[in-house]
Amino acid sequence: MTDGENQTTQQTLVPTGTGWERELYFDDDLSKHPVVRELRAVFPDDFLDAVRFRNETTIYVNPAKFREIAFYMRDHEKLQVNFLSDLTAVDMLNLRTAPRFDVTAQIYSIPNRIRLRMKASIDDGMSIPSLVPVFNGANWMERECFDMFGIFFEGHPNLRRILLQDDWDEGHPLRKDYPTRGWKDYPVYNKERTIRRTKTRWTGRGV
Amino acid sequence: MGDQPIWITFIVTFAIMTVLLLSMAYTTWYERKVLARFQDRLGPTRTGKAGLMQPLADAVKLMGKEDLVPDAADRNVFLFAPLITFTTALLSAAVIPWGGTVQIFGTDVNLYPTDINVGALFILATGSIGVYGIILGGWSSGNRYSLLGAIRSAAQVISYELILGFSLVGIFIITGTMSLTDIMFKQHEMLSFGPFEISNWFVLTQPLGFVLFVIAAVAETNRAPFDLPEAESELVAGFMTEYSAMRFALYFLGEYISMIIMSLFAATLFLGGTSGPGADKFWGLGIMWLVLKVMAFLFFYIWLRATLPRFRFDQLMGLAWKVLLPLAILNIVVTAFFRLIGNGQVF
Amino acid sequence: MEPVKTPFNVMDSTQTEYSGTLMVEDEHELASGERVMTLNMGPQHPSTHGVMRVLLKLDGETVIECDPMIGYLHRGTEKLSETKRYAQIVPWTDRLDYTAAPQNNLGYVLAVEKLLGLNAPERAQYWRVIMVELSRIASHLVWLGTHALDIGALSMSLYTFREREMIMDIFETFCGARLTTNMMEIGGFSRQLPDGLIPQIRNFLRVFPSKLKEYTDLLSANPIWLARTKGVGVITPEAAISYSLTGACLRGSGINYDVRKADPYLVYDQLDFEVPLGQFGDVFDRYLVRVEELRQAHKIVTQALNYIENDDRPMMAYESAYVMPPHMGTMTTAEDMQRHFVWVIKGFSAPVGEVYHAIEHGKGEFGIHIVSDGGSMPYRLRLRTPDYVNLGVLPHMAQGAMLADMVALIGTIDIVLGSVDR
Repeated sequence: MTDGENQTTQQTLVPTGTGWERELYFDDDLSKHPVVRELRAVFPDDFLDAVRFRNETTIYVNPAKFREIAFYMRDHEKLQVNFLSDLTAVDMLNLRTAPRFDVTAQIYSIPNRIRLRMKASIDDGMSIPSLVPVFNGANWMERECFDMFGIFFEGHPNLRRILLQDDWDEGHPLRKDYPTRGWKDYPVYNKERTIRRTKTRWTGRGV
Repeated sequence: MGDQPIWITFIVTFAIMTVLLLSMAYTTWYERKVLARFQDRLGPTRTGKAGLMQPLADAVKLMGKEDLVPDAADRNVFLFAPLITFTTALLSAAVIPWGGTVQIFGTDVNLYPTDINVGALFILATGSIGVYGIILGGWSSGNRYSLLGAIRSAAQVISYELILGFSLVGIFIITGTMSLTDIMFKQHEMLSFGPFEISNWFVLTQPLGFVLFVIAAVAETNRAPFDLPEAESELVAGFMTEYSAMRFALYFLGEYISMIIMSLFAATLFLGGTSGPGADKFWGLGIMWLVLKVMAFLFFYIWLRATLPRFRFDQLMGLAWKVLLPLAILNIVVTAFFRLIGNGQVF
Repeated sequence: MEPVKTPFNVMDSTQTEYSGTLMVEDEHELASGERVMTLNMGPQHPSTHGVMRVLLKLDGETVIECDPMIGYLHRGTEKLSETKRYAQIVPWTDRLDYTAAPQNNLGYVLAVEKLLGLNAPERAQYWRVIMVELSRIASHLVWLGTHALDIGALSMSLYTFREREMIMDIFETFCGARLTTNMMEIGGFSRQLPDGLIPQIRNFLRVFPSKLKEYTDLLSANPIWLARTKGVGVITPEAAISYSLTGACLRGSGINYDVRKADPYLVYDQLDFEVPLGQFGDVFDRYLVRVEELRQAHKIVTQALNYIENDDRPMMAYESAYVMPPHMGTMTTAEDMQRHFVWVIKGFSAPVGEVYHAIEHGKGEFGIHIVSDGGSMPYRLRLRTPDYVNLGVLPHMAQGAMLADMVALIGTIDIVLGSVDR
């Protein structure tokens, strides 16, 4: 790694290098990004797109190959994307017609210090391969994702609600069509006043 | 040390009971204050001067609480169990001597309720019975935390009773008696090293026994770092989880009486009991020395509580059986060997 | 006078009555014929650090299976954030990890600034570092006190809370609040530093090293503490990475990943500090790592304060339209008044896009993922709280542990349920 860096500093005009320099990860030309390059070569049909915003790279992949690509990047000897920072979903209901959800994984390479966002779009009712075989930490994140969005993860060992109670029957609250106050009318207790108002010196009208 | 009319024994017993119950209440105050000082705070200050009325306020509060019995509890055992701990703890005070025979208003008075020839054994025995209160209370609560606490308590007492008993065998070998009065007065004799004279306290001849005894006593009274039966961070309150109001207080007081009794016991066996400057001339001074020794022991208990983390259960058992028990046996063997030399039976 | 009625039915009639046979109900036998006891640790339990429930299957005192159940404190912060303008969300982040509110504020504010393409002035960045590192000390002190209390060292919590109180006082001087500070603003700090703040911080910096030595004197060589923590709850480096652990849980296993070094934000690349690493990944190593982090945080605060003490540059990036216009102008000119009014009522329109920004929180990597649709409110705000992810390793660690170890294991992850349940 250090050798490669030295080379590029010496020959800035001819960036031949080894093709794995750290600068390439942040290059304006996304096709030079090693992850993009590798995935384009290995998964030509399943690697859909790559987007760069604020120095962050987002790659869009085919949901059917979600786990396979994660496996490939984790076990690749140069990429070593071995750390799952976060896994969540975004309900794109208001932004596009279909597919509905973006399952988003923030993955990170601890040796290379490269952050990456991997996205797969699925529709409501579809399932996506679970990342638990790749990263154990995906277990709770996917449970939360199921809890909040109702996305099914195939191959998850224990897919049940985590933050809401097991018998929550109101659907999945982080979907965009879920009202902020929930679906149910909650009963208002203590409608009739059982304790008489008493006048106090402070309020004049009582509590 | 002779027989005395039974009414005098009653008066002495009554006085000792009163003092003991009062001091037990004030041990809680003492612990709060000392612990507070260790922890950089003040402790009770609002109830009376320096919070001296705090035990009274606690008692009133605890008596005013509802005495709850859980549905799942075995009702009779649940209600009865705290009494076992409390009464047996008080019972052990019967054999502790507060002095010899003294003249008060021209009457010979024994400053102890009774002097049985197996006094030390009696205290150990009542201590073992007291654990039944903990085990039964924990079992009958119908709560798993209580059950775990009770089981821990049973295992702990079996292990540490053994150490407690073994650590005293050395003294019995030296003195040839189990009567606490005899053991105490053996220590009033003076040893002279040239110009210096010091009391023949058994802590000097039995230092290992003393250390073992103190460790075992802490474990026996379920105090930190051996407070596993009531380990509040893992078992909530252990065997006391379901108890409330006065029944909770009885366990609490039982623990404090055991602490005082163990301190008295240790002071009598190892630190010469009432022995101290002037104790031979006036019996009141002897009692004062005893009280000071007990307070030092209580301070030590509280010091431990303020400083040490809690053992894990397997480590507790490991300490008892792998470290303390071999040391106790070693102590017995060495003491017996020297005793035989002293008797001229070897060499 | 009418009798007082019960306001509502306390007991629902459909609720099954308590049978009183809990003790035998769900005991079952292992293949070896041993009885298994199910113990419900929590939701109200002294050592779960809040309302967490851990369902334990016990064989004697040995844990066979452990299932943490969380969500008792779930307040739907992520959902609520979708209905709040960017500047209104900062107080919500206070309530996540309430022992380290400035760090949550910072994580959120930096993510928003990244989305907006905004940079706070250097002076504000240094003051952010000072406040965040103080808050890291406060958060670690709470952890140290409660962790030691769980293991049985009673006095520790009082000692650590004594020093934490000094930091709380500093926060109070700085922003007026102690616990839920709501300290950071988008673009820097809009107010002047209060008088007496720097001497107060100096005083804390002077006192703290000796107090830290007190803690380590009490614990680091204590045989009981060593027996309770060494070799307990071992996480191998591979497991630590696989379970997505961050913070001291990851570094205790020897993996060098500190966001402050790996992806420097604020001015951490200009400050001199070290990242302590553990060796064996047990409870004791994580304790050592956190204690060393206390020392490093002290070092960082000292450096930053030395550098920025006599500086009086502006603290707010007022040149940007995304920043709340200054208050003072509203009193004199109509244009400023209008600008301020519109900013407060309508907020700003953020660029379309999505960002993920992670900071090194006292408990691990605190990440905020914002998806913006160009409106004044985030389209989706994801809070990646470190404790939530770190807690996922508990079932793995608890395999074969003793019941008494459970409290040490829960303590060593350093959870705050407000942050776990969000």
